[in-house]
Amino acid sequence: MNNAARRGETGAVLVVNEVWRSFADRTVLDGVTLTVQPGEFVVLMGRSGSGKSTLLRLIAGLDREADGEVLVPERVAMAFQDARLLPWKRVGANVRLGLRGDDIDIRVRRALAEVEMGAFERAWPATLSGGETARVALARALIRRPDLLLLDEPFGALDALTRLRMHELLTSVWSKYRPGVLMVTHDIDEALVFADRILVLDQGVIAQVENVSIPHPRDPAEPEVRLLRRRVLARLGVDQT
Amino acid sequence: MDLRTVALRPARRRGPRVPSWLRRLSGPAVLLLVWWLLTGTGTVDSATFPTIPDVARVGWDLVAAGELQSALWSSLRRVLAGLACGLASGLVLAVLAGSSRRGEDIIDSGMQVIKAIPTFALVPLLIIWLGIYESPKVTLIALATAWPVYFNTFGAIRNVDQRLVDAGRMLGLNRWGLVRHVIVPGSVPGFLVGLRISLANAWLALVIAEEINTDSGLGRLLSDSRMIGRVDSIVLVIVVYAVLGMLSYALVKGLEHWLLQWRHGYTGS
Repeated sequence: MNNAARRGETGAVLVVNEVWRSFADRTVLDGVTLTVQPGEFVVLMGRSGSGKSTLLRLIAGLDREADGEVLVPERVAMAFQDARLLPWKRVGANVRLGLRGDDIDIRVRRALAEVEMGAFERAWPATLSGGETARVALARALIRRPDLLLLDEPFGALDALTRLRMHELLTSVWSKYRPGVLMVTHDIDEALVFADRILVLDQGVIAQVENVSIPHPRDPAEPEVRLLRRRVLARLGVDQT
Repeated sequence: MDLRTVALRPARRRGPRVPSWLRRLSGPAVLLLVWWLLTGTGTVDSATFPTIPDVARVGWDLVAAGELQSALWSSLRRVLAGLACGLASGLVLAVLAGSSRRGEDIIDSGMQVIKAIPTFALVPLLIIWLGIYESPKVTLIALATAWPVYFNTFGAIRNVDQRLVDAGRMLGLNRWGLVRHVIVPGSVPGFLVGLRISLANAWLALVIAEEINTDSGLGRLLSDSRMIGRVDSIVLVIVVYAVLGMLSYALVKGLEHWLLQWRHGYTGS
């Protein structure tokens, strides 16, 4: 059965099947299986060194030395924690990188406006603040209209206030286009803001799956949210009693 | 508890600043002053080292006779031709060696050998192979300018941030796109360091090259002056070399300012 047929069968935008990856003699991923449905926001958590980033790199195709099966759609975009804007290209040129078309100028402008960076098209990345850089990275990912959006701790380098602003922004752009998202984060509160599903990676496998059906926006003080928070943290090795 | 005063200085009011190119000229100005003090006062006699007016007069005479311009033009042509070949081959080889392991295996070891040979030791060979006219001169300059650009650019390519390459791949850039948008721009700072060395080498190589049977150029002017024992015109040629060196340095500075504007967020005029 070919890949397109398999995707059609499951309807998923991401299928990871029994993926196994080791570095030297250390097994990092020991048969990871997960799927992301269209429009679903999945958050992947795990302790430092649990293989979250390794898994994301495999899905992104940046690392291919692994056993198992990974199925992704045609349009995949990724935003990194360190943004990775090319410092020698102005903001606009960074967003349009790798894209073609007559309407590209308009699309770039629209994508930047969406993340409230419309005035920065001609700015150099070196002149931007952390929050502004993260916005541009988000615009650069979203302009590709991905079916699958990979977020590798996209707000991990930001201060708490800026991070909250970015949560609002991501919520608004995500609900507009609804790509399937796989987000890696350390931040349980960030996970609770977005997740339809929280996966905890431990010992190389998905050790816990939490389906979150609490409606948005979620109040952290709500008992249901607090309970979930405690459950996930306990799996991550933080006991809060 | 004893507290220590942190000395605060009121912010200095910024007056109109002296432009940096003018400040840069203060070094040469000091040299001229020393020259003037030593020769103008008779501390050094003019048979050993000419006075500034002596040199200016020779310069004026040579310009009036059209000799200085034609010498300058001959030499400049050699340097430009040699630089063009040297820089182009250095760059192409650096990109080839930098973007694939196999390229590195073949090219880099070869370039290491070339670098290990003192370029000017090749002069006799170049004369036998290429004769005594323009080609050995241009070749010598090309050889002397190729390797600094090659090594610095190659090193810079290999130091391009792998995370940016990953990002480029995620954005759908193919191999050529990565070279064009990530690897080449990322190695520009290294290239400029190499270019600076190459330009200095070019003038050095010119002096050596023009010792090979030269009927025109600054080197010819120099050897003619030596034959007739004219210290003033020898010094004139040296001054011309110095000015050319300074101009090429200024050129690289200007290029840096333009190509590396992204570093400081300079937005251009």
